Amino acid sequence: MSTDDTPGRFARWRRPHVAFLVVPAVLFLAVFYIYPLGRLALVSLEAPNFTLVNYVAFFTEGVYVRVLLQTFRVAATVTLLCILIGYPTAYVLARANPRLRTVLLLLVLIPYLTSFLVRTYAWMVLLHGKGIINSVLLSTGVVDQPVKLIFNQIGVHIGMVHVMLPLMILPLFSIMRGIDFRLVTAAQSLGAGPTRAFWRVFFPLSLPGVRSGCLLVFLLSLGFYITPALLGGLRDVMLATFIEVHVTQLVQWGFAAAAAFILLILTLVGFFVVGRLTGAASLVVMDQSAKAPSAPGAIARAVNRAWDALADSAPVRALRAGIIGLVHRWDDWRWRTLGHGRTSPVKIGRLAVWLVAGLALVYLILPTFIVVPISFSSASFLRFPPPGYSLRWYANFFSDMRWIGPTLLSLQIALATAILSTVLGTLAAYGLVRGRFRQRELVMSLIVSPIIVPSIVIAVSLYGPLAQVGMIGQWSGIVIGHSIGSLAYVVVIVTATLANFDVAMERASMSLGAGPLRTFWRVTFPLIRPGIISGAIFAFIHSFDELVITLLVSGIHTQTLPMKMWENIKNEIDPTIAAVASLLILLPVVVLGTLELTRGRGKQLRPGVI
Amino acid sequence: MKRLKTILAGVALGAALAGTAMAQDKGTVRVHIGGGDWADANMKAYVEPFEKETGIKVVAVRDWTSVAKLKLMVENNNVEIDVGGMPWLDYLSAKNSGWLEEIDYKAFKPDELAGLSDRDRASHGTGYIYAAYIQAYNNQKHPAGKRPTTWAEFWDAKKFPGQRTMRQGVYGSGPWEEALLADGVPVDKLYPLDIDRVFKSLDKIKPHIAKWWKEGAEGQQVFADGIADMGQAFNGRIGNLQKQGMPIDIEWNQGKMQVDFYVVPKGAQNKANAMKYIAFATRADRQAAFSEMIPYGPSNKNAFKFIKAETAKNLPTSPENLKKMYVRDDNWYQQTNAATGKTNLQTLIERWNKWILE
Repeated sequence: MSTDDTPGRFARWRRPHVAFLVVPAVLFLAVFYIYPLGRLALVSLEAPNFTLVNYVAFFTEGVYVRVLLQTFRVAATVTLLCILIGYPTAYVLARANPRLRTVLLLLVLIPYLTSFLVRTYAWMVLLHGKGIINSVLLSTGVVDQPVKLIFNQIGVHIGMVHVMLPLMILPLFSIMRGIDFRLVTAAQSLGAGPTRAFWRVFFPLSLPGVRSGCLLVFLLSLGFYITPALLGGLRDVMLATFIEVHVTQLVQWGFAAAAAFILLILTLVGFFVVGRLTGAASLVVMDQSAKAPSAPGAIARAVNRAWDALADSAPVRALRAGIIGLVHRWDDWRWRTLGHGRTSPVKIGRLAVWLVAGLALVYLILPTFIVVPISFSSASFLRFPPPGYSLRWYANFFSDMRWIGPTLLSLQIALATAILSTVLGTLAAYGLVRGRFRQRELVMSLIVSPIIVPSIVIAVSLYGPLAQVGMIGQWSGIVIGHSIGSLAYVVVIVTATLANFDVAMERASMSLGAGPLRTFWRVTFPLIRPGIISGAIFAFIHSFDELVITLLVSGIHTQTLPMKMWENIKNEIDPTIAAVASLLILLPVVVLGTLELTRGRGKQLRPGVI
Repeated sequence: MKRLKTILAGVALGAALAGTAMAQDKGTVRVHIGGGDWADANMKAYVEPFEKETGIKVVAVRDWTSVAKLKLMVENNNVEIDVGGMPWLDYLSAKNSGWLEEIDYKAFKPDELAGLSDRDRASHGTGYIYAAYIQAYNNQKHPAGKRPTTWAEFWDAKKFPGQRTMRQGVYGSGPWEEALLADGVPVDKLYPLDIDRVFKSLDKIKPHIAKWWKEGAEGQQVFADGIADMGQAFNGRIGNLQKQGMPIDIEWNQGKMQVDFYVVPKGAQNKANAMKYIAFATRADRQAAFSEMIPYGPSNKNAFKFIKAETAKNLPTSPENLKKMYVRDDNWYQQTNAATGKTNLQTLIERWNKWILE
C-alpha cells in the first residue's frame, strides 16, 4: 500500500486531471456571472469614454469610505460573535446522541426557514422600549429603566447574528462530525489534560470548519442591509444600502457598480494579504498533502519568511512557551491529580459549554415564539400579543391558489437550485482541494465573490443577458440567478469537509483496485456527505428566500413565495406571512426526519471506525 | 416537474386563458396593479369594469413598477407591461431618460380631463393618486388640544414630550419640507429648498426621534407597536390602524402630498389599449370607487361628486383637507444644479448620508 505521493495509477490520475472538475462551475459562472458583471463594469467605467469618475467619487466623497469601513467592522464583529456562540453549540451538537442531535439541529434550522422579514419584526416586538424583554426586566426589578436594545448597534448585532448563526453552526457541525473523538481520549490517556487535549488535538482538526463558517458569515454580512436598517439606529447603515439607493432611486448604475466592485476587490485583496501574512486565512483550504505555497512573488515570500522568523524567534517562542506551557502544565497536573473530583474545573468547563449552547438555541428559537401566535391572530396586521385568535390566515393560505401556487413554485425552484449548485459545487470543491494548479485562489475567489456583491447589482447585470436568450420569466432563468450565489455556500462547506479527511483512505481504496469513480462514490462521498448535505440545505434556503434577483428576472407570469410576500408587504403586512412562516417550520422536520431514516450507511466508514 | 410548471402557468394565466376568445378582437393590455389590498381594489375599481365596458382583456400583474425594471425592460427591448404606476419623482427621471411613451390625451373624454390638474396631465404620464405625509398621534397619550398641530410645535420637544418618528431621507424623500416649516418658512416659500437650513433644523429634532422609518409598512408598525406615539406617517397607513380600532388620529395641517403617475413604457406592445386604460382609470366615477376601498386621494377632483362624505374626510384631496396641505414639488427635486452637475435629489441624499454619521 502506498501512502506517499509517488507511484501508481492513483498519482497519475489524481493531480492534473482532478483540477478539471472545477471547469463546469467556472463555465457556469463565466456565462451567467462574469459576462453580465463585465458589461456592468463597462458602465462603471462610463464606456465608451472610459473614465474613473465613479471610482474617484467613491473615495473623495468621504462618506462612502466611512460606511465601507463601518460595513467591514460590523461584518467582523458579527463573525466574531457567531464563532464564539457557534463553536460551543456545534460541539454540543456533534457530541449529542443521534436523537438529541436531530432535535437540536431542528432548533438551529427552524428559525433559518422563517422569512427574515418576519423574524426581524419579531425582534422589534421583543426588543423595543415597551417590548417583551424590557417588560420582563422591569417587572422582575432587574432594571428600573427600559434598556435600549434596539435602534442601535445592539439591535443590529442581535438581528444579524441571529440570521448568520446557522451559517456558522452547520459547517462547524459537519466538520466536527468527521473528527474521531477517540483521538481526544487517546491524548488524555497519554497525560494531556482536557484543555491541552482540546486545543492540541480537537481544535486543530476543527479549523477547516471554523474557517468556512467565518468565511460564509463574514462575506454574507458584507452585502447585508435590511436587518440593520430595521433594527439599527440612524447611523447603522451598510454600504449595500447606498448601493441599493443608487440602483433603484437615483438610477446611477455606474456608481452602484463601482461601489460594489470596490467592496469586492478590497475584500478579496484583504483575504489575499492576510493569507500571505499568516498562511492561514486564505480562501482555499488545502488538504494535508498540498500545503506548498501556490502563487509566486518574492515580496510575499519575504514577508512570509519574516513572519515565520519572528514567530519562531527565541523571545516569541519563549513567551509562547512560557504562557501557554504554564497554562497547559497546570491543566495537565490538575487533570492527573484532581481530574476525577466532583467539583473539578473540567466539569465546570463542560457545564459552561452546554450553557452557551443552550442559551444559543433559546436565542435562535425565541422569535418563533412570537411568529407562531401572530399567525393565529384575529387582527389584520402583525400585532403582538394578538387581540384575539382565529384560523383565518391559515384558511386564507390554503383556500387561495395565489398563495399555494407560489409556494409550490418556490419549493420546486429551490430544489432545482439545490441540485444544480450541489452537483457543480461538489465537483468544483473536489477539484480545488485535490487538484494542484496555480489558479486555485483565483477560482475560489471567483466562486465566493457572488455573495459579496449585493444582489441588486447581480440582478441588474443578469437581466440583459437573460433577456437576449429569452429566459426572462422562465423558471430556468430564476434557477440560474439563484445558483450563482448558492454555489458559494456549497463550495465553501464541501472544501472544508474534504480538506479534513485523510487522503490515505482514498489511496487505500485505489491501491486495492477501485477506480477513481468507485473510490469517490464508495469512500469519499460517504465521508463528506454531512458537508454536502449542509451545503445543499443552504443552497435550498438561499433560493427559497431569494427576492431581489427573482423580482427582476421573473417576468409577469411567474410569482415565487417571497415575491408573493413582498407584494403584500409593500402595501400591508398581513399575518398570512406569519402563517406561512409557521407552516415552513414543518419543512425541516420533514427533511431531517427523512435524513434520519436514510442515515447509517456513512457511519460504517467514518474515519477511525474502520 | 413539467406538469407542475404547466399547472402553475395555468394558475398565473388562469383568467387570461379563459378570456382569450373574447379578447381576440379587442386585444389585451398588461397592467401592474401592485399587491395585497391595493391590488384587490384595483381589480374591483378598474380592471373588472374596464374589461366589461371595453371588451379589452386585462392581464393584471400583481407587482409594482420600479424605475430599475423599467430601464431594464426598455433598454433590452423586453417590455413586458403596457401600464405601470410610479411616484412623480420616478416618473420625471424615467421621462428625462426617454423610457416612456407620450400620453395620448385624445383617448380621454374632455369633461373627465377637465377634472385633472395641469400637473397630472403631464406629457408622458398621468397623475392618478395622492398620498399624504401627515402627523399622527396616539390620542390616548396625546389627546386633541394638547398636542402639536404644526411642525414648529412638533419640533418643540419641551412643550410636547413623547417618542417621535419620521421618515428617513435615504431615498431622498425625507422630512425636508417639514424641517423648513418648523423653522418658520411659509408654505408658499418652500421651493427651492434651502438645504443647509433643512439640516440645521433637523439637528434640533434628531435626539427626539425614536425610530426613523424607511418603508410605509414600517411606519405603520412603529405606531402599532407603540414604539412612537407621535410622528410622520402616510395617511393610508394610519387609516389601516384606525380601521383596526387603534386610538390614532391624523393631523392634516401642513401635510405634504406626493402623487403617483400612470406611465406607458417606451415600446409597449398595446399602446393604444394602454391609453384607453389610463383614461378609464382616471375617470371620476372609477377613482371614487377606488378611494372608497383605499384611503388615498383621487386626482380627478370630480370624483368627490361620487364619494361618500364619511369617506371624503379621510382622503388627502378632499376639498376640506386639500386646503391644509401642499404638494411636494418633485420638479425641483429632479432639477440639475448647474454648479455641481447633480440633481437636487442626489444632493439631498448625499447630505443625508453625511448627516446620519455626524
